[in-house]
Amino acid sequence: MGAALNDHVHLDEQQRTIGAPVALVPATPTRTTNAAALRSFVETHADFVFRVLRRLGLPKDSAEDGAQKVFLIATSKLTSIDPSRHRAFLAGIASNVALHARRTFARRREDLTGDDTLTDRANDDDPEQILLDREARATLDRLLAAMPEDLREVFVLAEIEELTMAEVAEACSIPPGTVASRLRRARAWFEQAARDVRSP
Amino acid sequence: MKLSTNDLLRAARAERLSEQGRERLLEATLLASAESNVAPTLTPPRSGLWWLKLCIIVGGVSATLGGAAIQPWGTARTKAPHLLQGLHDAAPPEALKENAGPMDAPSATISPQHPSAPTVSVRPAPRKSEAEFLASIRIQLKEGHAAAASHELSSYFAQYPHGQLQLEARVLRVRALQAASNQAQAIEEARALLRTYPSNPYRMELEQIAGPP
Repeated sequence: MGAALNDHVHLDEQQRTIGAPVALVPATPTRTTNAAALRSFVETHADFVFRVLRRLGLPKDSAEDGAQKVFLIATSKLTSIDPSRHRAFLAGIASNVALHARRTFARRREDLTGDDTLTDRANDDDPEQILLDREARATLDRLLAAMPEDLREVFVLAEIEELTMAEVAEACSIPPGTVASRLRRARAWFEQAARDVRSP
Repeated sequence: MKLSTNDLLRAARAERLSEQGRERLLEATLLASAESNVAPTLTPPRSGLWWLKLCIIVGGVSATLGGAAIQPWGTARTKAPHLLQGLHDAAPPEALKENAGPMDAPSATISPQHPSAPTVSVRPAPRKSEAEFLASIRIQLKEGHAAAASHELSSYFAQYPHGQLQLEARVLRVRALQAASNQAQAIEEARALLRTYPSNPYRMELEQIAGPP
């Protein structure tokens, strides 16, 4: 990994620019490599995990906490997972974390449907577009909240996050055929619900 | 307003984790990973005091076996458990981590040739974790205490020269320099970070500070 190499360069540079004392312990390539790889892993999938948690019903703050849980669980098992399966693996964990969080919220009788603060976006985004997106997400979340649970998970992963059938099957621990049938029903359900919203 | 299905899906796909959330997520994951790696790193004798432990153990065993010939070490027979405890206290697991700096293990001067010397019971002050350091620095910056933040950052870099959150700390340093109106150094540091970590998650912020090359 290129980042590991960068870490070694960075140590000398840090001592020069920050004036830290000269380290007596040499840098350990394995650790720095692991840290760089882990940082890259988190950075690559953070938005994906956050979105899955949001669409599975967690408000923004809970989704951020949930994302931490997902990555803590994932990193403990990461070495045994092929990189091509990372998204399905994370989606499966996120689904369980979201389910658990929703049950906890339900026990506490807390309201999950409240408005969330605006998710940070790049500075160059059009404010009007941000507001439109916010409204669209609120509408989408209302529709998803009413969708049957088994359809919702498949719909979020396949239709919104664009995972393949195989990935969804792995994440949800169901056969690909079941994924296909649930997705078909979920699309039909969603189209009907969206039509109802558009023409009250 | 009529939103099409595509509008809804596109808006959902456009949602991003906030910068603060991303920072917290990175910190939490890296720290948890570092902590889970503590056990393997404790196995090799990384501390320079390993020979002393060995001598104490050998001395203790010799004395137990009636080795009166090794008179100076005879004291270790009674002191050994305390000394080992002292060493254990003086070098908590964190101090044996690879990323622990030279300041981490307090200098416990244990001389077996001075049996009257009090048993070492040096217990270092609780050391701030990396996350605690960065959290307090963020608070200081938020409250406008740039000098205090800068001082805290120096302490962080001294204690964790190979810390897991070096990148985050250096980004905070850039912010601290900006807060202290030291724009030139902030730009220099931002450029150095961009050179070292061309695809880091703070790139957008750093590029704004660094300006055109």
